[in-house]
Amino acid sequence: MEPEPEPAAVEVPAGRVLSARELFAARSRSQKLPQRSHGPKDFLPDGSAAQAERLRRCREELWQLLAEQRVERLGSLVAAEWRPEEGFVELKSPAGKFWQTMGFSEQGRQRLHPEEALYLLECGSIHLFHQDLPLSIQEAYQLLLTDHTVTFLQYQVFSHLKRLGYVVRRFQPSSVLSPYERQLNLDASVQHLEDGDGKRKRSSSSPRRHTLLRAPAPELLPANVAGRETDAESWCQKLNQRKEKLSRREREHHAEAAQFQEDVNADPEVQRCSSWREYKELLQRRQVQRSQRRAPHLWGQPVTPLLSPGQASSPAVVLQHISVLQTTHLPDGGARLLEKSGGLEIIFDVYQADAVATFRKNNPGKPYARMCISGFDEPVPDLCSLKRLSYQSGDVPLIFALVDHGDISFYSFRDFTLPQDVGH
Amino acid sequence: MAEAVFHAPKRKRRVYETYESPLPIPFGQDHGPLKEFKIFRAEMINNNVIVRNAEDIEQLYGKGYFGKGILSRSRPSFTISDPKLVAKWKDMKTNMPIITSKRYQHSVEWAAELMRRQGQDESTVRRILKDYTKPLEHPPVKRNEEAQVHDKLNSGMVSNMEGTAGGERPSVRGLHHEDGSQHIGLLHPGDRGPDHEYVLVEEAECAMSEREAAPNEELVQRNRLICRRNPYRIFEYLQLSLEEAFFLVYALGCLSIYYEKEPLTIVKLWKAFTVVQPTFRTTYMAYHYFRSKGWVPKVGLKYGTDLLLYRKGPPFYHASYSVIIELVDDHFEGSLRRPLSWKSLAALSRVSVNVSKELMLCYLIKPSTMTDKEMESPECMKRIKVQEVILSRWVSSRERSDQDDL
Repeated sequence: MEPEPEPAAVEVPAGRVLSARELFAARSRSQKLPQRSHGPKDFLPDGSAAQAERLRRCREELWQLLAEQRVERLGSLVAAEWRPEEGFVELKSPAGKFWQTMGFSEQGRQRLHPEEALYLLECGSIHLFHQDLPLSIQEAYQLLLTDHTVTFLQYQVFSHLKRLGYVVRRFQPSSVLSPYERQLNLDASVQHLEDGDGKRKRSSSSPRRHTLLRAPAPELLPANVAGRETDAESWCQKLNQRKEKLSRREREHHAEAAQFQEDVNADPEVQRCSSWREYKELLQRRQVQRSQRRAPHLWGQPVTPLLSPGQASSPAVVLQHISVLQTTHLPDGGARLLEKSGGLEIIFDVYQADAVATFRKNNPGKPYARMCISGFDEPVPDLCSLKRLSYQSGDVPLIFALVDHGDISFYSFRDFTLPQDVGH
Repeated sequence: MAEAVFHAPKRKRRVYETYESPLPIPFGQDHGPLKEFKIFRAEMINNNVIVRNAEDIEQLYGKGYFGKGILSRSRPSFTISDPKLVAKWKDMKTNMPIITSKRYQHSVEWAAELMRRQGQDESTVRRILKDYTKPLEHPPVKRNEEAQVHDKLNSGMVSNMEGTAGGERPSVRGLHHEDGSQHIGLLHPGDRGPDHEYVLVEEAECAMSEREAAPNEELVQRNRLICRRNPYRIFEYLQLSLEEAFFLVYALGCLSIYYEKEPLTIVKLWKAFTVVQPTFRTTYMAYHYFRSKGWVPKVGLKYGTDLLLYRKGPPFYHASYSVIIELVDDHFEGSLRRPLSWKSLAALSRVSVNVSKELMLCYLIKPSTMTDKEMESPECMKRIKVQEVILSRWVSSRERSDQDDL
């Protein structure tokens, strides 16, 4: 017999069933990961032999890793069956170490959620059957990830977190109110919306010839003078009534003036003046007032400044006087939004890795965070969704996982109240 | 805890200013109830709010950091003084700006051009300018109290006759005082406060000596500073954003805004500013909210957001928050001023993190029962609620021991 080749050096072409020797070789091969980096990144090809060699080595390593056949001992695999109608996987043999943080018991049976089963399959911990035939990983992806169970995006986030060591469970809304909620005494009370405004009165408009001048009121005329109505048509014809063409500058000036200037005829005090003399007297009074009292354009109006001079005793007091906007918090009013469904939902509860040793599935404690998962192209949640989800999450921070073709980034929107800053 | 934690603002390493006051109004228990305070004056010029009075500018910027100098990066600090010359002549110990002869010539030419456009004929222009730009011994005394100061200055200059810069000898030559001459070339006459009517112009000493000097003999270039009057002065004004201006008028009652000499009422401003800037009401409400918490909001244009929040003011701390403002209705929905996608949100988040700021979304919640008529007055703010949300990025692969809060 020829000398047997080194077990670890045996190379197995893909797609073949392994022989016994090959299986043993696979079991005893080195478990060490190759060094990941071969030096700093090159940004441009430089045609050198050294660069070509580095590239070749990188590629070769990658292919070697990908081509490795996964070999497990049949006895150490837990048998499991996929139940598509019920949407879970039932274990046919007793669960292994993974049972501490994964799976659930029901009707005396050990069961796994589809995402957990798929993850364990990828880890090489279970043997997954469907209709008495073992499923390949590709088949498992196809069958287990549906819209009714867990979507592909959600699975990607699940396995990403699992591989980092987190414990990831399905979302359990906490039945205990957080201390904050108890403090607020929140109920699903619905606010009453007031009715809208009453109908507006229709303004009457009487069509009139614009050149017709009414007779003046008799009481305004001297005793022996009679007034009469007249039509100024003939006079208008003698006037140049062409529309004045304004230069651009003049037009801009008029527009600006229209914004900032008051029509003097709209002033009620001016309207009360019945003669030119009375108007002049009004102007004089105002002039005197201006020099005596504080600014009438600020203080003599329906809307006055928030702070009056006598109130400015200290910066803190001033801030108090000008604080008219109310602060609100995310959970406020969140209860009545629960009726809304559709859109984003909380999917997972996440616990930190160092909690694994003491983790009890029946009493997991407060999660480290809760996850909502969405594609990167989907719209950002509006305030309505933020409030609803954060209310559901209670006092556990909420994280949004965005999946962009396999790249996952995480963002959180957290309630905040800027503290008052006085007395530096 | 699901709420975001407040992080104390980062103090700037080098602070060049002293803190005067949080707001440009006097505080004090001993003021009687009817005690007035000074009302500053601003004008609407081309739909912008401009403050021209130098004293007002000083107060408004120095106490609360309102506004921006139109010729400066933030604090109005424009000067025509040439920094290189100032460094060269630093022993002169003068407050007057020091400019090059060329720069002075430009001023003279601009003033001449202005007068020509005003219809003055050439000979008048030349005569006036010649008279105005005559060299002076020292700035003419306007009040008796200043005489001593100016004399000291003059004697100080005389005692520094020995030049220090490369063999040059500084000297200030001058003739008699000028009093009561007309102010030419002033853009806006009036009380401007301390200004730089008098400048020191660096000019070359008169003609060179023999032309028959050997080619490798260096000509000693002697420069000196001559005090002259600047016929074309440039004044820097303070520009207030619409939000800052409205706050000073409505919240504090310490500013009056004039349009063509008529002061504007609060309601008028509220309406007119909305015409100029359609989203004014939304941005103003957020501005007012942050000011009422004692923070200093400035414009957030640099980082793609609406506001930057500073504690105390830009000279003291780095901005802590970069704020995006949105107005929504009672059902917490609304057409957004800037509809965000995850891509743009991620970009804004990255930018903010790179400049050590936290990204804040500020939602202004308007009750659905609020009518448009109610919105026509700033009193509608009493019914508006504010929801602040901090957006932050979480890195899943961070070392587990590192993770303090999310």
